[in-house]
Amino acid sequence: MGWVAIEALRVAYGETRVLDDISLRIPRGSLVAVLGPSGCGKTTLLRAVAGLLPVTSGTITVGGRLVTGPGVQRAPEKRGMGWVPQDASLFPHLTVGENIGFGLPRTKQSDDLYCEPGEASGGVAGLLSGLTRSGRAARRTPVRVSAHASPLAPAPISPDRSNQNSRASRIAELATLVGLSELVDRAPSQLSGGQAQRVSLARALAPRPDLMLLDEPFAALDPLLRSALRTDVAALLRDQHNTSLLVTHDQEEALSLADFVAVMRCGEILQFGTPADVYERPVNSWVAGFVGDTVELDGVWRGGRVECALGSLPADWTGALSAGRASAPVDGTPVLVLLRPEWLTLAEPTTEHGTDAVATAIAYAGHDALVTFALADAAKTEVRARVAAPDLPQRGARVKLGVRQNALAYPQG
Amino acid sequence: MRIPLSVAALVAGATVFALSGCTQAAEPAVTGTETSDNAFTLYSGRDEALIQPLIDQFEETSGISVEVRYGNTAELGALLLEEGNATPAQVFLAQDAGALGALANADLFATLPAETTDAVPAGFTSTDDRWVGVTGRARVITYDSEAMSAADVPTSVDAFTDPSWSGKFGIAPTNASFQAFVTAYRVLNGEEAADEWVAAVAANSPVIFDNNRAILAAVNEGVIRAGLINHYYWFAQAAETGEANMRAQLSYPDAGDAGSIVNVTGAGLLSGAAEDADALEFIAYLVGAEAQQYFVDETYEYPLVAGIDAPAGLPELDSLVNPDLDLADLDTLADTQALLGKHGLI
Amino acid sequence: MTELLIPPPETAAPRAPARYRFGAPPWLVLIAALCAATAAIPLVYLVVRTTEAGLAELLATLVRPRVLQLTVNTVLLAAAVTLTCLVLGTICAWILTRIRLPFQRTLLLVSALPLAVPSYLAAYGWLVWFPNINGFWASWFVMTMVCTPYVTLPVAAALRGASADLESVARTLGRGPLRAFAAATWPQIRPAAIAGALLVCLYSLSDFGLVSMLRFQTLTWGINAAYGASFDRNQAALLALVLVVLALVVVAGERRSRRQVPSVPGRSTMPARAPGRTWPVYIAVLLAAPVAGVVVPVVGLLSRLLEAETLRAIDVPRLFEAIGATLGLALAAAVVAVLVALPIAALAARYSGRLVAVIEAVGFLGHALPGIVVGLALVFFALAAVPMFYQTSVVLVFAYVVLFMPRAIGSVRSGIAAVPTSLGDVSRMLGLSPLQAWWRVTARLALPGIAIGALLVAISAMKELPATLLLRPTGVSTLATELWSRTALFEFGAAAPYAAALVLVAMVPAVLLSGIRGTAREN
Repeated sequence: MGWVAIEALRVAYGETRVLDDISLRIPRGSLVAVLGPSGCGKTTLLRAVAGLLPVTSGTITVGGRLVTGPGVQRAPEKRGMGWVPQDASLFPHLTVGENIGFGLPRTKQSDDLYCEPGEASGGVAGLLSGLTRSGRAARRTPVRVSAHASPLAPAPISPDRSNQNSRASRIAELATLVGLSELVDRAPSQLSGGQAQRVSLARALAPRPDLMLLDEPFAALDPLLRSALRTDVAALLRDQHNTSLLVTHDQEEALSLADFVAVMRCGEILQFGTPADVYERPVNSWVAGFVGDTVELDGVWRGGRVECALGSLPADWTGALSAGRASAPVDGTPVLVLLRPEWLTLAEPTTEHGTDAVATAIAYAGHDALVTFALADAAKTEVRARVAAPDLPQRGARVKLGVRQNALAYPQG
Repeated sequence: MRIPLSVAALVAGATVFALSGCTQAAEPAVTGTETSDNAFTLYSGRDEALIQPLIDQFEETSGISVEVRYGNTAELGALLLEEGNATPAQVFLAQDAGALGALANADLFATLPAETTDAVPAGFTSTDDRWVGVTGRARVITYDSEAMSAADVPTSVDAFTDPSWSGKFGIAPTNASFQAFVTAYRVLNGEEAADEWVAAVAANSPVIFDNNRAILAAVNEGVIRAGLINHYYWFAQAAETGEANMRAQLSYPDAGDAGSIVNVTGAGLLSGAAEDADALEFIAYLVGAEAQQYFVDETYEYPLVAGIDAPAGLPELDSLVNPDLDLADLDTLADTQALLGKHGLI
Repeated sequence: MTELLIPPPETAAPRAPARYRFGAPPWLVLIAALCAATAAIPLVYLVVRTTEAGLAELLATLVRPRVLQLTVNTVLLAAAVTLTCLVLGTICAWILTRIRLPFQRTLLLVSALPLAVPSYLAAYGWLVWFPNINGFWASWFVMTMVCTPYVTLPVAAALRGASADLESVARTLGRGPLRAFAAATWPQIRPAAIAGALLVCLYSLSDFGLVSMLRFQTLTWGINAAYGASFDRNQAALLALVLVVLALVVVAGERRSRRQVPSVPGRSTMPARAPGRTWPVYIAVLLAAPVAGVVVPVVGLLSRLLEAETLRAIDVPRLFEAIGATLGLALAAAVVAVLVALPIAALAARYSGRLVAVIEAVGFLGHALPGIVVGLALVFFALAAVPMFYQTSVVLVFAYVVLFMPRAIGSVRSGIAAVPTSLGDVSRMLGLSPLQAWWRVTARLALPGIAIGALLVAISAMKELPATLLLRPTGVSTLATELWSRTALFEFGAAAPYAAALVLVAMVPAVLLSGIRGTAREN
């Protein structure tokens, strides 16, 4: 059973179907990544789960609680979900600490008396102070803010002191958690993109949501920062035992972070499984190509093997994964043979087994390289192999290519 | 920032109510038999500076307090038409007979007691006692004294059809007093002559103004040589800038010329106030000797009751001819407007 | 804000849209429609009056050559004034933001000042100096000078926020400075310029004071004549309906040409360049409107004051009473107008569609009508619906709201549109109800826009005359009505303090306005 269960979800804008019959289960405490190209509807899925847009039909339950269903459309603020948008979307008029504390509940009484940390009190005068330069500067003076944001400092006069205290300490706790405890008094405009995204995450985590929704949270960051931050975030979400739904178009991100990956295309989920499942046994060649590099060859099925340009290879029939073709085809059936570049092995040209090939191009990536080989057959078929840096051949070098694991065979066409 | 929405709403509400609280709400119209509560409401199309001293005087002598709403006559007339029987006003004091006639036609005026209306001679008041004339304003020609001598000023409005005046004289064809004058022209000289005159004037490039005041200002600045206005405006401006500084001067057309008619200002009693003794007392006061003398002395207007002399320097009222017509007759006015419209002046 | 929005890589999913793709929530549509309905009251009144006249009379009136002439005059004047204000205002804004002139802040403030001068006062002041001027060209000139700040201020703010990257790219691609500006920067400031031009256009359609002084016969002249000489309410209503139709065309045109381009997250703004030897030219262009719209009329009025023989002692308590009434009414009008404009602006900023367009257009109607029509419509409405409020400040403030709400709608709408919708989503996800999210985030961030709207309404309400005369509580005078009652009598000596007080009081919001426009974009 999933902690979060999405059943037969449909979203349409007028005639256009954006989500078509989506079903998805997210086990408690796991991180599920929805992976798909731009415009596949994955952000729409996230917004539908969040309650930010109306669905046409289908149900969504979280922890057994129906939040979307026939006649039920729970308001976003009542779903207990956290939201981390792509552009961080920090409130520019609040400090980092105030942003983190934005969703923390305040009792009704303290709500009236409570003055937003660092903001001038005093009704309309305070409201207008936001219009002037000096007013804005005054709000950013760190003295006032730290008095509220630090758990050690006295809390503001409030009938519910303990509430204020726990609120302030929760802000401090989260600021520390995302490594920004020094910056709670800063204005969002003074943060870098990575810092802003951390604040956004802390803000979403603060009210302890039942489900975290992350909308391409790392897409706007530069690559180095991206990989560092996403490792941090994944660890943090796991430590907090959060159930999370992450939307991304970056397969590396999905595969490295998620417990389960849902691959989406044109409003439909094509495959749901562990990252290894999705990568090693994609349901079709499109999924295979979207989650990683592929080598695709034409072949003929012969009793558990395929005959192709790389010779006769042991193969798994994957027709069972996609609809319809459960049993293996009869011998002689043309099939599509699919390999990952790293499944290919290189050997000396003098080796007995293998297929003769010449290295024609090398795309060097430091730790390894993607090498293009031309086979010796009549069609000069090209295949690409991922080769670890120490084993890299020269361009023009002759090698024997082997295959280290079973190839995947798909129905043709 | 945490200001509840309710506070903002409260600020707005409080402002509005503070403002409305410090002013009086509309008074319901008085109904029933003749009553006196020592107060009534007056809509005055006459300017405050010139009528308020008289009202103060009335309040003092009668002990009746007058709530006055000032505006221009046309707008107040439109306002009264719109208010209908719901008007808070008891008396309307208008600058021209047309407005009074429009309200009388809409059955918004009560009939005035004969002893009030009889004080004013026929021709200067309504024919059916629905309103009473209070003062008279003579139609005059104002001219640029630096451009021409008094002797050269035309003595008849017929002169303005002459090509020598092309583009040099001003009229305010949308103004009630001009239209009353055209009506007089029609009555005195016949429809055919009136049609010819309007056509000729329209073809003679008249300079079109919105009101008499603007014509006078233009003559005083030497922008145009002459214009057709009411005498009263000249005296008002002369009082402000000094008679010696007036470049524009007045000339009175010959008696009998349509250009010499007298327009009247007047007062009417709103129908809801038919039995209001205070309002009736005020209207009677307006045609009494004290008020009439006040108009002569302070606003240079013609008194309309016997026994009060016209302001010094003005020809006697008797010497000016008012044709036998109801100045407030709107059917006649409509014909005049049709005539002006036909020749593109309005 | 822009620092946060690092441009996403090519493959990234599109950011949250500025407008929602799905329909507006019914409650918002309902509230906005109710608010817009307040502006439709005069329209209902006009239709009632017009139908009273009967079809035959209507047609007969409509085809009169004079009605055609009035309509043509009105359209010509509105078009000419709008176009000139658009060009002059944009040039002024460009100078203010791109040329390093001394006393820049003061110059910005000075260019806002013509807003404080009522059009009838400006026309009067010009007539003092040049009694000969009249007709189309005079009306065009004076009206343009008074209205230019409506374009200058928003365009200056937009220019300050516009990315210079695009213009630089255009320059490197071989465009000259002017063509680069037109190709790269104009699209960014276009919505602001068009919105300003809309206000100018509606204002010149509805103004009566100026055209009556300068003797140019427009529809408002015809409307006033119909009330004044013929007591023909039906004909006045018909002419007013012609104005309404013109206004609808204008508002629809504005919506069509607004074409908000997504803001370009540029990192640089165009550096101001030194003016060099041409600085007097720049200063002269900048000062044209303030000199023609403020200095000339005010000095003219003062000279009349000196000529006047009736230099009376100023009735100080009365003057202060009028100032108090003017300020109180203007403040109330500003607050209420903004509250009424908010739902309409929120709807128009976030949603599109036919219904939204209709609601917004209806909200703009009141601005195209002369004060006397709106005043009489509210007399009609108040007596029928809320007689207890008749001739109280409540109805008067309501009239100001009907007349001037469009000024608030425009600036509040752009203020709200500038707040990313994602902030609202985030607030919802953090447990705020829609209204809480709106109040704590959207309204808070749109505050400069809301304040601008309120100030524009306050300025206009201070200067308003015809509706005030009709609807004010008996015995209450504003500066405008006091000024009217004195100029009507040639009492220039007595009028001058009121004129001066009116201009000075109206300058307060005008100065605040230039200040907000300046600071609103500093981030």
